[in-house]
Amino acid sequence: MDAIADTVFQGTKSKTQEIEDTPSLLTVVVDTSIHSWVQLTKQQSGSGSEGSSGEKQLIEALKSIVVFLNAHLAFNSGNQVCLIAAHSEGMKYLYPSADSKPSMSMVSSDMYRGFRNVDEIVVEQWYRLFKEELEGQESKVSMKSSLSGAMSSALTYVNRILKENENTSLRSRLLVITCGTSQGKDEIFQYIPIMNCIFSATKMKCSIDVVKIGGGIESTFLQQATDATSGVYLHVENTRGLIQYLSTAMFIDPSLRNVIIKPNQGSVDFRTSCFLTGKVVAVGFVCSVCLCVLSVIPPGQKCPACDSPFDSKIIARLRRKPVLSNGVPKKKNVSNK
Amino acid sequence: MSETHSGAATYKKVNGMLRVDEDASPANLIWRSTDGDKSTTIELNMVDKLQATPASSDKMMLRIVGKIDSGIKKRKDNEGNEIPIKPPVHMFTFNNRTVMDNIKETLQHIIARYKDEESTQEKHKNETEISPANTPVASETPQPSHLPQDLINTAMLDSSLTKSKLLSNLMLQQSLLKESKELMNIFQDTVIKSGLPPHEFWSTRIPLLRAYALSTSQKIGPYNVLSTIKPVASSDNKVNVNVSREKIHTIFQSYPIVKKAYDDNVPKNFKEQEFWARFFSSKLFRKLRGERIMNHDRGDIIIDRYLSLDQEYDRRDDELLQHSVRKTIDIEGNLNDDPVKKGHRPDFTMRSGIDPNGNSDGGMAILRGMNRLSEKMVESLENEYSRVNLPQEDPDKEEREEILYSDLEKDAPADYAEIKLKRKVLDAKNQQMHKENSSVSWLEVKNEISSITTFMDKSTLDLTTLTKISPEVTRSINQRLMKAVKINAKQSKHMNTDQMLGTTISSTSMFQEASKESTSQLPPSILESCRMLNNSCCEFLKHFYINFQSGDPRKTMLIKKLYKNLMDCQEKIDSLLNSVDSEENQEIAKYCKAYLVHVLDSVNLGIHKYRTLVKQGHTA
Ligand SMILES: [Zn+2]
Repeated sequence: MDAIADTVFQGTKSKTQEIEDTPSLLTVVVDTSIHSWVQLTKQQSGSGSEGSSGEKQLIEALKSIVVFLNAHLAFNSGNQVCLIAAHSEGMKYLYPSADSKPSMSMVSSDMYRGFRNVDEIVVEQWYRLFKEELEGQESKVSMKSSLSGAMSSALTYVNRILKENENTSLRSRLLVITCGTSQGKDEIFQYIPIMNCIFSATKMKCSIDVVKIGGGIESTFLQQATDATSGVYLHVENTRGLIQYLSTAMFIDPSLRNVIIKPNQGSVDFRTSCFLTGKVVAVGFVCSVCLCVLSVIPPGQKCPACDSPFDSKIIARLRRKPVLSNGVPKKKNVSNK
Repeated sequence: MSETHSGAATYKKVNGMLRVDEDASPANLIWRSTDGDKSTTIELNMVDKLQATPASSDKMMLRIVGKIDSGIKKRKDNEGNEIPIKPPVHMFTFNNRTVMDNIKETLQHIIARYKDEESTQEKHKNETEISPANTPVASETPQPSHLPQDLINTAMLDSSLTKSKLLSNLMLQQSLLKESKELMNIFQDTVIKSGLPPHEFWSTRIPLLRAYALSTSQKIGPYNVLSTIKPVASSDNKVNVNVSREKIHTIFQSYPIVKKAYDDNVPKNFKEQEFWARFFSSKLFRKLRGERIMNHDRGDIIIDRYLSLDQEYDRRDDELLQHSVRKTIDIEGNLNDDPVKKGHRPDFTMRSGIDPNGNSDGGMAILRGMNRLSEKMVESLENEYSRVNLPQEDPDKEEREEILYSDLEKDAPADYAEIKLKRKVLDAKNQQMHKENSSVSWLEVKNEISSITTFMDKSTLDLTTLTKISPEVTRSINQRLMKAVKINAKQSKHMNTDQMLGTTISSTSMFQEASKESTSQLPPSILESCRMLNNSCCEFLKHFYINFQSGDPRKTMLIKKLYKNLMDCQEKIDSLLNSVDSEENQEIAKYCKAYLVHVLDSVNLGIHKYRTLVKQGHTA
């Protein structure tokens, strides 16, 4: 008994130290693909419920994110932040940015310098992102969702920063802010990249939190990502009060993840979906090379995800319909009911 | 007879010669007076102590104290007390210290060997009482009887790993089941209790069987076994060697000469233990190990007789390992054999008995011996792991290619593996999404963007607007989060927070939690039966679908059987759920249901599919 009491005592001591002293890196991936946001605004003004918010949702989101980043920086002088935009044209680092120093001073000059250094760049890069899109051609504006790509970039960034700060045992977490569309199955096509993100996040001990704004309540793969990395998944209707969600539910320090009860809602759907149809699979097929799940035998005798050719003999065997020979007394089977 | 084994010595003031006779068994120390009138023989296995005057002393005397013969009856003195029997003592005086030291050393070796043997015999005597099986049978060559038996034939590896061979290898299957408790549980539950054909059970586990067969059948290849044996001479000059059965077996395999020596002498001349003690102090051992044999090395008089025979063995090996000499000019060889660097003399490896420095003390022989050993090792693997089936190398291929003129031939084009980027599929999907989003026009998007940019153009970003949210919104958000936390807290209330904290503190990784047994609301016994049930249901489902989808009418009976098994599974799940469902156990019942509902759904789907098919058969 003494021994047990001893270890607990010692452990508690080290714990408090750990929490107080360990700086952490907060990486935020925000979905800025404009189509989804426009659609979201349209839907909500159409339903008339919260249409009179007065401000553009994207502006509201930007402000919330800036405050959220500031809050994180305020927590510990060693804390670091990173903001990545998953835009319609691809992903872009908003902070830290490769572009030169801020020139437009879009943030109040009265702000605490530590915040302003970051915020100036964030806001300016955000502005440029849209300015560039406005100048672009329509044809170029495809609906490519770059969320998984942005998540991968975020994780590589986390990995780099963790490697650079090996001796300070920096902790890390990743927050994904995504805008859901009415269809709600947009990320089905990103199953494999998101899975890869989950694996690498688990390996790096980086938890993934997700805020989904609008759209369907569930988001299977992102929910799986949060579940596998002890993160938090939240679905909110719009950006009103987003900062409150961010500063409460999304502010759990990585070291407290196992102690704090998380405000997750609902249960995670662990079932896999078909790569081609997007439907949840009960009985299906799996590519033995990339583990992609299919509910139907894919056309063209090759894997739709990785292009591995399939053995035509096996495909033929899979196509066979179940048969029962005539010799079976079928009445018996039915009577088993 | 080498010098070390004999020398002039005075015994009982008579001059004579002292000689060690190792040929006799047991070995003797024989002293004979110069005139040949007197002689004394001491059996060396009966020696208890050996003492010599120290080097600092002028006197040179060797004292041998014998053991008390237990056969002698104990005499009693007049008062009835036992008279302690004095052990026999022999004292030899020398006139040359080197001679004395040599004889002393020889005697030390021999006596230590006998003592060692005695102690092991003593040990064996004790061991025999406990486990008679452990005593090695000295009269027989040690067979690798207790080496693990091969589960597959590694010489025919390819055929051993075929599906049919694996399915019929009961020994392999049993061994795998013994190894894996989890698999054993499933096997018992499905095959033994519910009558799933074992063939079916294993047919879905061929890769598992194959991997197991391969991993267990990996053998230690031949290696330079003697180099791993490090005899340690203790203070009393005893050679301490511990050799395992496996090593002895390997020694016999690698060195037939040792096997011959063993067969010749054990148990005729000496016991097994003595044989190894002799062998490890012999020159033969040094030679086989690839050590230089010094002239003053003691060696072992009996074992070293095999040195000459070993040379004969080596000669025969050399003939077997002969490499054919190339008939064309060996350009590569000539490049290596540069006369500018090395002169015109034949390479040192071509001159007999000379090493690179021109010495002839056997360095060359060591090199040869090691090369011979390496080649034999490689050769002995020729038939292992299906190497026989490998395409035979064409011995003349290199030669033929060498004489071809190939300078003008074109370089082979570089061949790269093609990686396809799936742009098209992605674009197709994006188009699909685009269609879904077509309700948003480019104009709307453009308007939205420009309104954002103009808003940002107007002024600096005012973050204070975030605080201007109506209290209702704030309250509702707060309530929503609190509600979620409360629900989640209820679900994890069973968890002892102290314990929880303890584990998180001790774990350096926050994901370590996952590797541990996750906490469950269920009592362990119910949780275990839920798990078992889930496992066996999945097992039956797997076999059901494999056969059901096979489209093979011959499988009808099997499918029917598996269908019945699914029915049993359904019944078992139902009965388990019913058994836990009581008033006071609402929570447990809820969790049981949550755990098993998915597998129950799957079982029901399987049953449904089968029935539909049967019905179709009726209507058709
Ligand atoms: Zn694939």
